[in-house]
Amino acid sequence: MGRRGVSLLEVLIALIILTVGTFAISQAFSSGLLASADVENVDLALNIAQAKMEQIKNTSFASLVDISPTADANFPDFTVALNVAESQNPMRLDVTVAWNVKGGQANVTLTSLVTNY
Amino acid sequence: MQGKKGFTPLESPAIYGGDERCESLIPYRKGRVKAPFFLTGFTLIELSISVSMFIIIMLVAAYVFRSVLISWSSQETRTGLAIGLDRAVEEMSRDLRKARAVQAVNDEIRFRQGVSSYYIYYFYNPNDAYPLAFSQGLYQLKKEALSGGIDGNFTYGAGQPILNDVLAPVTSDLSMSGNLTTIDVSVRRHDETIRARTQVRPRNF
Repeated sequence: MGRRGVSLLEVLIALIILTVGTFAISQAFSSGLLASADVENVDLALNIAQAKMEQIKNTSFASLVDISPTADANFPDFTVALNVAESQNPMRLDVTVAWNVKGGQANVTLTSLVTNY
Repeated sequence: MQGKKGFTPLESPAIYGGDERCESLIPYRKGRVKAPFFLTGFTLIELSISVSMFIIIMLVAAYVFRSVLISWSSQETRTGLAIGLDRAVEEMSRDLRKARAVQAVNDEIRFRQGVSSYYIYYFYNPNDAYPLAFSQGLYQLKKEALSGGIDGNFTYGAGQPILNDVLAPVTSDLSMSGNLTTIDVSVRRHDETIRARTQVRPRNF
């Protein structure tokens, strides 16, 4: 083993490896936390969609029309949209709840049928 | 210590014992001594720098580790709360969906199932007497059978616990508007709060 020290190139390579490793680990933690938050949002969105569906069940068949995405009154970060298949009986309903996530939008959709009886 | 001859005390013949092998390895130049590799120690500066770097690295590692532990603990609390909250909201929704009569007054929901079975969902805290003033922070949500119809009586504190650590109204809300029953429940534990809200239209009115 010689008596020479560590060269600048060796130090740089070591630093790059250390930085890449640290960045990867921090990204893994960050992704884990974001995934947990997403699960909570899916739960919340399903409840909002379910509530909307119950409101629809409480509405007369004739008054059901499409609703463009609108911020929810209780959870403004979520938008609720209704798509109805007009002139069908039973009529298909799609309630879509969407919210912003890192890099785009996520959504859940509940589908049901209502009958004019 | 021989300042003139020795770079470190280890280079002193008094310490290495005047070994000829060592003597032959030590080149003298301009009155200074260059130490053979196997005899050198750390200088004070080298030691100070390495100890400082070690302390900094340890502090950074401890900070990162602490942050991860706090996040993990917080997420564990939230997950536990969410599981209980989902289950409670689902159970209440199912009960109310198949109810034949529902009445919601003062954040308690009374309902009838079948022909003559009556139940109540109510907030309970041993430090808040019935009828509730909602003077406490957290309550338990309970389900109990009613005797004497939908306006009948029940034993306050008795019944099946549905959900713990529920924030008092008006943060939480059990109410009815028209045929729609609102279940809006927030739970809190260790500074973590989760809210679930849904509405139910009973199908069998």
